[in-house]
Formats: sequence, structure tokens, C-alpha cells
Amino acid sequence: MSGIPRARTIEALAPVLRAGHLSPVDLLEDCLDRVAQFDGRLAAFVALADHARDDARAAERELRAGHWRGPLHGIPIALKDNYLTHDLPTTAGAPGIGIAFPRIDSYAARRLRQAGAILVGKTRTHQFAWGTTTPPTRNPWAPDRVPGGSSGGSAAAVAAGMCVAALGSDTGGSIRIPASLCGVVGLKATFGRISRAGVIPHSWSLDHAGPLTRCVADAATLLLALVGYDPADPGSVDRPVANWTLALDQPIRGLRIGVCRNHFFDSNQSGVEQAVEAAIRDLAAAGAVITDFRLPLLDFGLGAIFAIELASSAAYHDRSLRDGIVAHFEPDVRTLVEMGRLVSGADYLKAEQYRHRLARDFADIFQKVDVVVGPTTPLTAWPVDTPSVAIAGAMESVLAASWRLTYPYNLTGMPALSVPCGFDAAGMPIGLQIAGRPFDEMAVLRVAHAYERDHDWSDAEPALTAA
Amino acid sequence: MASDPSTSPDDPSSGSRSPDFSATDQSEASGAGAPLRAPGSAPRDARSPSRPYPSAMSQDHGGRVSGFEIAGLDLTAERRAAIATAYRDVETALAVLRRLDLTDVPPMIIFDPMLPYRPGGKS
Repeated sequence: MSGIPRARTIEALAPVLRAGHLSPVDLLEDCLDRVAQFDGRLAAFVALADHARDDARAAERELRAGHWRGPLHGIPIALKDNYLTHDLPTTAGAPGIGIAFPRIDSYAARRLRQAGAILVGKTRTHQFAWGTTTPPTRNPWAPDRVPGGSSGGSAAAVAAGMCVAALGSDTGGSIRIPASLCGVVGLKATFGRISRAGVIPHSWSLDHAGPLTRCVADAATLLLALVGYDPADPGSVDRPVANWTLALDQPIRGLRIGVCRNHFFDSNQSGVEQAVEAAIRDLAAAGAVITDFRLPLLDFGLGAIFAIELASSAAYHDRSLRDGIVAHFEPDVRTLVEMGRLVSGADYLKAEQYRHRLARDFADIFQKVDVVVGPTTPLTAWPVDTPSVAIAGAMESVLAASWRLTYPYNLTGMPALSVPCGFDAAGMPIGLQIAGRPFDEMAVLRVAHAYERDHDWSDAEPALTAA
Repeated sequence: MASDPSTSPDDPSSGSRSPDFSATDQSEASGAGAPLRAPGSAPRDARSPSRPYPSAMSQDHGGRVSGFEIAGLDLTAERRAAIATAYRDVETALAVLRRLDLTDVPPMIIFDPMLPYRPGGKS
């Protein structure tokens, strides 16, 4: 459609919308056309907002009248199906099993509406935000492959241009994993930065809300729109808000970048390893100071994330366990929820002790570095219904491998972002993960944008075919 | 790997200081004992810890209460078997975590008696 910039980013679209060179109505129609063409095969959306066209017309009127609300004004954005909305049902991937969620706006939905965004619809989640495959959603880069999860619908929708950006949630990597597998940017800000009020809980102390976007600048823009203290979320923190867009276009010369050589590089597919090592060399060439380190404590982390995530999920779903509703959950999710009852209180608290120690070790690391980089996932998108794949010469469960490099930052609550850094031999996207000290999203975005600016990975688009 | 959890040979708190900027291999840094493999990176047999007490999901009803009953899960034998199988990897990972001596580390949990008094706060 004429008038729509080739780069379907907020960064590119906001100025033309503001200037009146593009109508929010035309932009929305273009997104809906793409949904009609491609979502039959991708299955990224579970619901479209009936009144989105009305909202787009209202935005058009406001913009014509010179009332510009900001860079999200008139931008079509999708929400993962675990964000409550007053005008669309929320199912958390579990429709029709006897669980009803309130028809009220989540904090994030409210903030996006206030910013003038057009909430185009709800995207598919792996049920109750468990899991990393998000069935039946498919990966736009190869429809026979998974999009990752649990925010797989959001990642696929953004990658396919069916919306300009989307929100996801991240408990063990559920924003960054699908972002990596679908070739988009995914940001999990520091725990407490973005209110989870109105997001269906999965594990209270691990859950993060955040954006999936086509570029780093858009992630910064959405972060700015979503942050703020919200007493309705007990985890929300009252911290100064920076203008993260100022991080963009800053040089990284002299910035100290840490590379954790154990855990994050123990076992990766060769294509992932090569792409990430190349990215580290490029960051060094741009003037960053690279420091390798090891963090032995990471070898103990899997038990901690299991204990907290399983026990928390079982506690949240206690009513469903008691009433037998879990029998209607997807089999994999039912098993995980039931297993949560088996985690002992002592193990749960040991896991919380471990988090403290891990956070302290990372604090030591951040005395010497400004950010830590590595792969987002050790593998790229795998074929649907494939339980295990070869990684570094050994067969490994895809579910075990997929979150290995992301969950440490849920345990510590640090900000972490995935940015595309190449493709493997099969043409599947690869993600570079950048993590920072708590509340230093500025450094994370600065490195991510500097890397993105010097490469054209984000310009690549999947070759989509209509269903 | 059959190790005695009580001796924690792989506990970094009992070995060299961590984190480590010298990029020394962890198995060297931890001193004596078998090197700890990253959870999930080794064959299950190699990772299975010794169990000085019955498994959490023991199905032994010979006068004892099973882990499922303790957990309040009233399940069919088929479901118990499915969960027991799935839980094996969790148990293995928890056994690795238990090797850490974190006696002096408080849990990362904040008790906030003022939460119900915060605007919008819920008890």
C-alpha cells in the first residue's frame, strides 16, 4: 500500500502518521489485509478487535486536528492473550474450560490506549504462558517450524507485519525466545519496571511484561510508554524514568562488554555460536572492551527456576487443581502444574536463596562490565512436533535447551534484550542477548542499537505465502 | 555421577571465589571431586544423584504415604506414572541445587507488612 514506509517500524511510521502522509486507517487496513492473507497459515492471532477500525478513524481525526499523542498514535499493536482487555476476551490459551477472566483493561492496555495505539487484537500464547512452542502458531520464516514461546503469537505477528509491534510476557524467556526464533527484537525490562497488573500470572516473582518489535528504537519507544509505578502490581517499583530513546545512536567506544564463557557457551548449535562470536567481534571493532568471565554458580540454576516456576504455577492454579479443571488443560501444561505440588517448601526457599547469591555474583560482574552479551537461545527454530534436536553433536530436548540461556535473567530480574544477529544455514534467525545491571536499560538499548545500526539483519523479511 | 550431597564437592562457595574473570574452567576451580556438568548437558544416568531418602513421587504404599498424597494430588496410576517420569529431570536439577551451601544467604523474598496499606495494594 502506498504511503507505508518499507520499514514497518514505529520509528518510520510515526513521523508520516503525524505529518498526515499516512492515515492510521490505511495502516490498520494494511495490517488486517496481511492477517487475512497470512494468518490462516501462521495462526498468530486468536482474536481481532471489532472496533479497531473505529479507533483508527478516531486517531485519524485527532491527528488531522493536530492533536498528536506521541509516537504510538495510530500504530497497530497486538497484545498477548494473557493481557486483560475490556473489549476482547482473554483466555490465556485456555478457552472454554471453565475459567473466566475479567473484562477489564490491564495496565499495559490502558497505557497503550492513552498513547493512541490501535489495539488490533490478541495473539496466541502457549497455554498459561508455559512452554516454548505456542501451538498451533507457526514461524513466518518457515511455517513448518515453531515460533518459540510462550509469546509465539506476538513474535510471529510482528515478524509477518500483521501488526507493527506486540506485547508479550517473559517468565523464563517467553519474550526473548520467540523474538530470537522469529527474527525480531524482544525486551524484558528490569523486574518491576513495567506493571503486570492485569496480566494473567504465571510465576509472580519471575513474570515480566514487555514489547516485541521490529527494531531496537521501537522497543525503547514502547518501554517509555509502558513504564511507571503502579501500586496495583506489588512488584512495581517507583524508580526514575529515563528517556531511553537517548540511548540510541550513542557510540559504544569504551563501553565494557562481558561475555560469560561458561553456561552461555557450553552447548550451542554451530550457526548460533558463529553468529554470536561474529557479533562480539563486531562490538569489539566498534570500540567496546570485551571481557570474558565465568560464573560457576549458573550450573546450579535449573533447579532454582524449576522450583520457583513450578511451585508458583501450582499455587496460582490451585483452584483448578482442587476442582479438577486441570484435566482440561493441555497435557504438557497439566503435567507442569501438577508437578508443582511436588516441589517442597525447603527447595522453594533454597531457590530463593540461590537467586540472592546469583544476583550478588552478577553485581560483582557489573563492577567490571556494563553489559553481558551472549546467545539468546542455543538453537534456532526447530520443526514442529520435534522433541529433540542435535546441539553441539548431542541430541537434546528442545524444551530443555530453549530456555537455558534466558532464565538466568528471570532469576536475577535484570533487563535483557534479544536482537537479531544473523541466520543459520537453514535461513532461521539467530538472536544476540544483551543483559544489563538492574534498571540500566539505557546500556542494554545502547549496545543493541549500536549493533543493529551496523548490520541489516532487522531489514530482512520472511517470504510469506498466503494460506 | 554419584556424589554425596552432604559434602558438596562442587559447591563454588566451598571452592574458589566466584565469579571468575580468569576464565578458569569450573571443574578446576572447584578442586576435589567430580566436575559438575551443566544441568541438562549430560546423559540422565550420569547426572542422577544418589538419593538418601525416597523419591518425592514414590508410589510405595507399603505403610508409607506417597509424595503424591502428601502433595494432595488424587491421581490415577496412569497420571502418577506420567508425572513421575516428567518430574525426574526436575528432581535431578533440584538435587544439584541442594548441593550448594547457602546457609548464610537470605532468600530473595521481601516481606512487606505495609503492602495492604499501599494505594491499590492487595492483601
